Amino acid sequence: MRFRFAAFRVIFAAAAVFWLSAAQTAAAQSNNDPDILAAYVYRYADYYLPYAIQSSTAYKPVGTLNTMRDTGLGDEVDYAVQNAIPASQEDLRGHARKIFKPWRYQFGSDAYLDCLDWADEACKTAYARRGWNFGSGPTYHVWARTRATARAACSEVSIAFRGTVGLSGGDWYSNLSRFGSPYDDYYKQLQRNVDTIMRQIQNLDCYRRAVRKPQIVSTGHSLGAGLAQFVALATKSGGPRVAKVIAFDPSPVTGAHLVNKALLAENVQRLVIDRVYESGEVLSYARAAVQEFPQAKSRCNPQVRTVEVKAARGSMMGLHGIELLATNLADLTYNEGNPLGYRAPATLVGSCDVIYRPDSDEQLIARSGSQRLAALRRVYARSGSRRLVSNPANPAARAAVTWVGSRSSNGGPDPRLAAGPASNAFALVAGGAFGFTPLPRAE
Amino acid sequence: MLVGSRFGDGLAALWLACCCWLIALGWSRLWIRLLLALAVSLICAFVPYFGPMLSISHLVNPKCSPNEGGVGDCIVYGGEVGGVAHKVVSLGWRIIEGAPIAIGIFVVYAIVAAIIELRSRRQALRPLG
Repeated sequence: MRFRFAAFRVIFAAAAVFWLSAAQTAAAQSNNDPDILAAYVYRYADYYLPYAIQSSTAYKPVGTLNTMRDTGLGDEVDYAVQNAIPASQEDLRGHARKIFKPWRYQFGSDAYLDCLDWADEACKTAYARRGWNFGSGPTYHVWARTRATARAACSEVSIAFRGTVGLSGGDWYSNLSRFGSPYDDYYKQLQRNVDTIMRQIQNLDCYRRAVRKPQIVSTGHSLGAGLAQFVALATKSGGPRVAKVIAFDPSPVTGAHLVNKALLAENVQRLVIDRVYESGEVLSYARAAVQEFPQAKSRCNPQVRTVEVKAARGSMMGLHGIELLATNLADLTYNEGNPLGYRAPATLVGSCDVIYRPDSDEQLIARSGSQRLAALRRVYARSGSRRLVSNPANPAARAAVTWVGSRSSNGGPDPRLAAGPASNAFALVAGGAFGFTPLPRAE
Repeated sequence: MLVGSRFGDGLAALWLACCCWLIALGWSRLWIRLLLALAVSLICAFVPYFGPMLSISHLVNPKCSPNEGGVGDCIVYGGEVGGVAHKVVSLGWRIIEGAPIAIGIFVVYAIVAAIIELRSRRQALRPLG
């Protein structure tokens, strides 16, 4: 009897230590947040915004978008923006509408994927060996970005995947796909159909009209982000490939365990994956603990870039929403009629080449950014969800940061960066809190 | 939802340790102890995270589709409950933190219970005096 109680004391002590450490970590995360909720990401926020809008719209029925597409009036742009940004932020909606204007919905699916093309023998074979199914499949929407100069042709095609909805068995079994599943989950359904989806994209009218072959990207939120990474890893050898993945609050499951190693090694060549997440969201801890391939530290083949948006506070679950993320991305670069300049993240980092090239239309949309810093002060002062406090950066840090921000014509520090709220924002960069290195402007 | 959130923060470890202690006090056979401990662990591994989702599943209607993206309203009896309904779906992800805790505690308990059983058997076999 004495032994038994001694053993249980050990268990209790271990449990108590574990609990205290976990509770302290959680308390630290919730109570010691910095008061300046801003980050270097404001420079790139508008670049990510269209993909966030698509990921948000992916939660909406395909049928609604099909109807809007068929009318040909471009109503899907308004619809998508309304889904991504709440009605209380009407000015941001206007801004987002301008950014999202070049995009048009093409097609999508929200049904169980048996075989989209029954002539595909590989798909038929895989389908014959399928596991149990729930009758539900991955929901995705395909969007195309038209060129400013040639509206009939598109320059980029994006596949946006939906995240988890309610108590959907198919969704949750897919979320747990990494641990092995006898079910025909969404990763497996996509694996046998991804090449057909790519062919459908190649058959799009705007794709065929394009003089320069449009690049294909994939995006999504949470489970959708996991699926977006998966299609980039699982496309058939020799066919069209996904050039870039923009994953919002991504699931730690990418489905890489389902892809054979040779194909995986081929598909990660020159691939870029941007993982964009709100700081403190529920999956940020899960990714740190159990991230499936590719790991966040991968710098080349694939180039994985982690983008932390630190623009809100709240519970882990509340911060996980794509609506919140999309609204913050829009808000970070807009202030009551003053849209700020933005840039696309660099395509060449170190010696790692990538397939993806930012659209040349980016230049038409991106502004010089000369008004950026003045307007930035108002951005920080405006939002009720953000606080502005005095946190002056030290002069040495400012000097370093000035080079990061921009340079004046004589190559010296730009005096506009020296004072005010903007310098606080840049201080985050100087402190190494954010993962971006200085990047050249997209050409 | 509060229970689910706190469980993921490690409260599950203390709660399960208490349950295991009570099981050890209340039942003497090894297989019953292990079975009960497994049942309690599975409940703690799943229910705090998926229970709230189950409880709102009957609210789903054309004007209410809870999702982890927080997209769209959730109107129930004319009232907007979207904020909580969407968060409940995201809560399911915390199983990644909660389930290993529950399974870990069960494994530790199984080892301890097995050792106790072995020791007590040896003591029972030892000749008196």
